[in-house]
Amino acid sequence: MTAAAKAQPESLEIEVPFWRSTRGLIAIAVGPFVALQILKRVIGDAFPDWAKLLPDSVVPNISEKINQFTDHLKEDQFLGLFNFRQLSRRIAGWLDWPLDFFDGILRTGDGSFGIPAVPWVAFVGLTAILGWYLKGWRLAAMAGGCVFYLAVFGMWDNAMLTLGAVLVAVPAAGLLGFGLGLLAAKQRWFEKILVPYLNILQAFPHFSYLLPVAVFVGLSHKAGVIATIIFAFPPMARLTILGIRGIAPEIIEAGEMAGATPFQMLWKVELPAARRALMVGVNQVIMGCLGMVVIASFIGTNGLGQELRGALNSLKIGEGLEIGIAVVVLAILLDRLSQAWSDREPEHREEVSTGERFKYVYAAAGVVVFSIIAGFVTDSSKIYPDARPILDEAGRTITNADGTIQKLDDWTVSFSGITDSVIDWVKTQDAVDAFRDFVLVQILLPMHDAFVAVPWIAGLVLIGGIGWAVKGPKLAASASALVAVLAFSGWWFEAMETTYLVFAAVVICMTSGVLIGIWASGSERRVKLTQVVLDTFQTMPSFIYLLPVIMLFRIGPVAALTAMVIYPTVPAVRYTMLGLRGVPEDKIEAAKTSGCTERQVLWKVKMPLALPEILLGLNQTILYTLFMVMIAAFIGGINGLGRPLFLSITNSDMGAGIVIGLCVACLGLIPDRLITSWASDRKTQLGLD
Amino acid sequence: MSEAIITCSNVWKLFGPDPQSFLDRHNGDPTPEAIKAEGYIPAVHSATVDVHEGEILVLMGLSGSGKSTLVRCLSRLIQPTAGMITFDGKDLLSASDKEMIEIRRHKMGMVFQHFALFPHRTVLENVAFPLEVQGVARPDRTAKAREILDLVGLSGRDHYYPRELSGGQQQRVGIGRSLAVEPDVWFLDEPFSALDPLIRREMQDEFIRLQAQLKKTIVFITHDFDEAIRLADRIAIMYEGQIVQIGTAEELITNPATEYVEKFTRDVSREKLLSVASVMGAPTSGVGLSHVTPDSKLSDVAAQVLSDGGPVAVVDGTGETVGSLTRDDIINALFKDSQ
Repeated sequence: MTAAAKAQPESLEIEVPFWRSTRGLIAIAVGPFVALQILKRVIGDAFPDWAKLLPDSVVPNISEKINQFTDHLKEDQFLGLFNFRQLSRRIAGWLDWPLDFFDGILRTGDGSFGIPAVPWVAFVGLTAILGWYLKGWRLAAMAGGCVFYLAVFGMWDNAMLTLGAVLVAVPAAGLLGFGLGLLAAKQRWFEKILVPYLNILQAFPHFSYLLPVAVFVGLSHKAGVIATIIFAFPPMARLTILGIRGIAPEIIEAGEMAGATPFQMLWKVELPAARRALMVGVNQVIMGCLGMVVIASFIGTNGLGQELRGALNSLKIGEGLEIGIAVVVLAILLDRLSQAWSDREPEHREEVSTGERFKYVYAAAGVVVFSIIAGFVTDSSKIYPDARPILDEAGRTITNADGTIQKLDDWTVSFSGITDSVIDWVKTQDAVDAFRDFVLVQILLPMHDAFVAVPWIAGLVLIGGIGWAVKGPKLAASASALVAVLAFSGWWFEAMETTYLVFAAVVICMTSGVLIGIWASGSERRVKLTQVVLDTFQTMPSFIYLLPVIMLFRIGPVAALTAMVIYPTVPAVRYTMLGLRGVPEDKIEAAKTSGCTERQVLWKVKMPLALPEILLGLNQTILYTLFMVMIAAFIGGINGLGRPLFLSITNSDMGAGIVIGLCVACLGLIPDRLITSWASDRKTQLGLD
Repeated sequence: MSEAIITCSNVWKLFGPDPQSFLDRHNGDPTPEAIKAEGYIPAVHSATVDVHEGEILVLMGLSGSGKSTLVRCLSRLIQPTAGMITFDGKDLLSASDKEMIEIRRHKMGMVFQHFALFPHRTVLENVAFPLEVQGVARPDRTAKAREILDLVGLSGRDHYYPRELSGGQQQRVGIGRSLAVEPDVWFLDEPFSALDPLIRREMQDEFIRLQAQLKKTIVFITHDFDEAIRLADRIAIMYEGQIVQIGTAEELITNPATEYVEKFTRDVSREKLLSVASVMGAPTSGVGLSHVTPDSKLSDVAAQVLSDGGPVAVVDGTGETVGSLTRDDIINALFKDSQ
């Protein structure tokens, strides 16, 4: 026996050539790119022109028809009484009262109700008590701190405007979604109508919601609130259906056997039993509303979104960052509170003293009494002293009529100056520019050229073929029909420009997301840590991701790409973790006892079993990326569907807006159909359901 | 035998595209082959059974044999495809929804395999639920629920929530809830299957104690033959939707109707089940002084017979000798399979 053979048992880790262990990954990352290059160079010339891009004469002018229809709705009267615009404005008018109400409570305090605005001191205290009641002193400190932050950084007024809009939109969207979901849960025929509609609605980019509302309601604060309601209700409807359907049949039977009437069944059995899902729905509605209310500033919604847009437009990055953080703070506040509310499980309580039982009420009363007394002492306890709306930062003094100079109270803090100087310093660093130019010239531009050269007919055949391979002719037909919509919309070229950016971003997101997911699944501690980070990222309204990026790369594709990769990496990591953690323990034990190394366990057992879940993550990543591409269009410098969609809003071009929105939805639905279909089949095959 | 409180005759429950017209086409009695050929699934296949007042009828079968579906037909949680069910002499299947609610509010109670407790209600509120939906005033229903909790041995847990209780305790709540309206008929759908063996045993004892006190009419589902033997007055064995045999445990063992029933009963400890009467021979001479009664179980008399050596006289309550019992009789009865 040779020495080498003897030594072998000691080195169980058998060397695998780097190329072999990574070739799969490389193939996934590079393959489509190479294929597209070949397509462009070799086959591209073989296609006739009409197969590459449909001539304008063939493209049906849908936008024009939509615009005519819209005009008809806007101007022509029904029944000689009113036209659609009048009707929609009347309906929108219903929002005036609640908006005024919350505005009064939170900000102005006047109005017909005669209620003073809640002093900021009281607001901080009451929010903290709410946090205490819902979860404990940690949440109390966090919630109180969040509200305090808004005051200290001079965001109070705008934050309260935004909060007021959210407080109106959330119940409206929640009730709308709940009502529709309930009907769908009870009536199959309605579910069959509603669910496909929800699927399409949720694939539309944020901006698409703004346009119809702007056309029919006009540009105003409340128009944005309406768009927000329409944007935020689908998850509630979905979760209502899910929650009611998910109740164990035995629970329903128990209700029936007790002799509950249908009405008792609903209120006493079904809704309480579905509480969990309904609360998740409420949380999603809240977060959706906040994200949308910021974006709705484009059609006139006031508040933090408006300020943020203004700061970005005038490239006041430091100020923008501060406002952005305020949005995040508000998001975290609402998310954690609603999360804690939905996490509350009923628990029996031992008999306690009255003091203990009413401690929250006493504490709240204490806060109210304190702020009333403080209000007598100084007005500064009611309205946080902030001179900035009156004068710019330099002055902070005001000249009275009699010529005396009075210094204004200003307790606000700002770090925008520091931020701006950091950014200025970064901008002078050549390395950043060099990196940007390298990525742009060496990677992005060639990719762009390859994608836009794809003939629509090739796309149709390719997608159809994949559909056929995954599930058969039915899926092939529906998937290639979506491609056909893109081709005949007249926006094929722009759609491919968007696809290229999405593709580049998704490759980055998935690579990093899966790697992070693998790392995070390593131990309980890492899982917890990663969850917290992911939750925080997910809480932030997507608009915020633009901020740090513009600072570093200025505007352009590289900046857009960077902005697009952070948010969509979240689902990639999340689903990878879910998949890896979900691998049944006995399979892992079987692999280990078969003599697998850690690495082999991962690649030969865990990853194949986690693959369906990871692909569902891919699906989410693609959708998130698409939304981010649209939002990134705001910072400009990139082509594709985002820019024209954006312009259609500014021009109130309903037709173009709807057609482009539909194109974006198609781009999202194509991979969605293919991936979910494959993943659910595969899961069944693997017995993981 | 006492009166039938539920009668169930030729009840069908078929799953498939159009079960009604399928049954009509086959004159209400399709063959198993025809059912399979046309892709229907017979959850209940022409079941006929009566439930007598005050008895414990155990529906027994493996999973998928249709016992759960049948009990849901009896309580009309499921509408049977065909057949006839009467409850207290009234046609149950033609009862309106409103009438069904009335019947369930006063005459039926049901216990579920996975307890089916309402997670958002305390123990007390769970038990009081059937009274609450009837509109019983709060003080009355609370008092009644407390009384029931006492009965099922859960006093002091009133304000706990279901998830704070162990499985056995949860099922006590489930039992309590089903008894709150003092039903005439009590359905129990594998009530102890989800519990640990030790707890299961304890709950069976508890159940026997309760029944001795309450004397309800009971339809009890189980897949555990030992449980059936312990609790049942009569056992109905189901296989592929059909009731293959109904009888006492002893009848099933001594006289299995099909091979399936025989297989099912093979592993039962016969000595505890078989009575002297079912295995004894004719009276003979040469018996010793000691004697046994015909309704004793073999396990109780085995030692006596073995030590006596010769045949032992079987003497009934009136003092008359009705038979004799030898060692061979016992051995043959116990080791029937090995012959």
